[in-house]
Amino acid sequence: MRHLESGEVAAYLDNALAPADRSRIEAHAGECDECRAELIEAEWLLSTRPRVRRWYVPAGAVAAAAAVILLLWARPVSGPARSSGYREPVVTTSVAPAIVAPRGTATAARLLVWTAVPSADRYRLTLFDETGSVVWETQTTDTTALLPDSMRLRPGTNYLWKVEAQTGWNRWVASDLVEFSLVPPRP
Amino acid sequence: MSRLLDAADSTAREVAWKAFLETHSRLLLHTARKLGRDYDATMDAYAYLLNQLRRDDFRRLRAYVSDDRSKFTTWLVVVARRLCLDHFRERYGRPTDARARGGETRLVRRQLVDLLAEKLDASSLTAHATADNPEMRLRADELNRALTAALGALEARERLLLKLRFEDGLPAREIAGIMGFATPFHVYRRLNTVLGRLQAALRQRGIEGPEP
Repeated sequence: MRHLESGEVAAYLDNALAPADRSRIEAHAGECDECRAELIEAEWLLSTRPRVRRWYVPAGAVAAAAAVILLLWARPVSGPARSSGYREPVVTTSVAPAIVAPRGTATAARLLVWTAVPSADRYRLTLFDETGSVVWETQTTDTTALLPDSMRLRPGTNYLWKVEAQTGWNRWVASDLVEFSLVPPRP
Repeated sequence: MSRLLDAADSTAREVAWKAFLETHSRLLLHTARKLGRDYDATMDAYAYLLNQLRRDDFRRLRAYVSDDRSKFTTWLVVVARRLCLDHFRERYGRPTDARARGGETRLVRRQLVDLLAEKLDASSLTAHATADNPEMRLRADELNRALTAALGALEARERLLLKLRFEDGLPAREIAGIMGFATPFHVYRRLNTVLGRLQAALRQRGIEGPEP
């Protein structure tokens, strides 16, 4: 039994086949588990693929927005300046991870926690001491990381840390650099 | 893509390849990620994919130019999926679920029989009801034979519809996407029509109900 060719699978999914060819492919897919699985998976991949979000503004709306702006320029504007209604097309960007804990003065800092980033593949955590030297680094797919037992943080010393989320091939989005220190033990 | 395939020299080719990746690498990575077990496997598959697409002066990409029935992105997804599968099979072997698949097919077939039997008010003919009753078992076998004959009389499209619904367990929305139905509602409507025809075919073959 000859399996479907790539071009046939793609043309079927795009409804680009003559009825006779379509019927032939449906007959085959009805009998062939492998080809049917290919149709199912390819359709899923197409329907869930990442899309570039763009802002489109109809020409009439652009003209209307420009007219409003020209009118507003005729009077002094007391508030903050307004941007025009037209924006450059933008590419979707990921939200950066946000540090949850520890931050500021903390009583414990063994568990480091941050917010998740949609579609992030993994996270890279870097811990710096107050001189800016890296004291610990790790990568994880979770949104928490546990400091190893061998890693002893000095109370009263400032540390900084950040998390980067990998959202694509060689694409990382970083959190702010957050400072914390451990409360010194009571004498 | 014509810039890539018709590039005059290696510099122009590299520039065009970079532009191709900027446009399509998210889609390619999306495909690799779906089939990959983990991050490292996904990245390996992605790298393999790019290598294969470049190979032999972009031989695979040139194949699209000569067969442009579909949209390029659709074609690229199909090709990328096949390449990723090849890569994973080479690394991890073929999945060994063929025997389990046979068991699944029997289970799904029984579900279709049960559904039709229920609609014919012949629920007593289902497998679980006939286990200890030889006469009922005979009737159930008769139902199965009649069903096989009735399925054979359906159009290929209708058989595929039943396979996607009952064997692959897909929701109507996904079936609509694969088979080109306008909406999931059209899928349900067609399914009802097909099941109605199967019931009529079974009645014609003497499967009226549980009474002998």
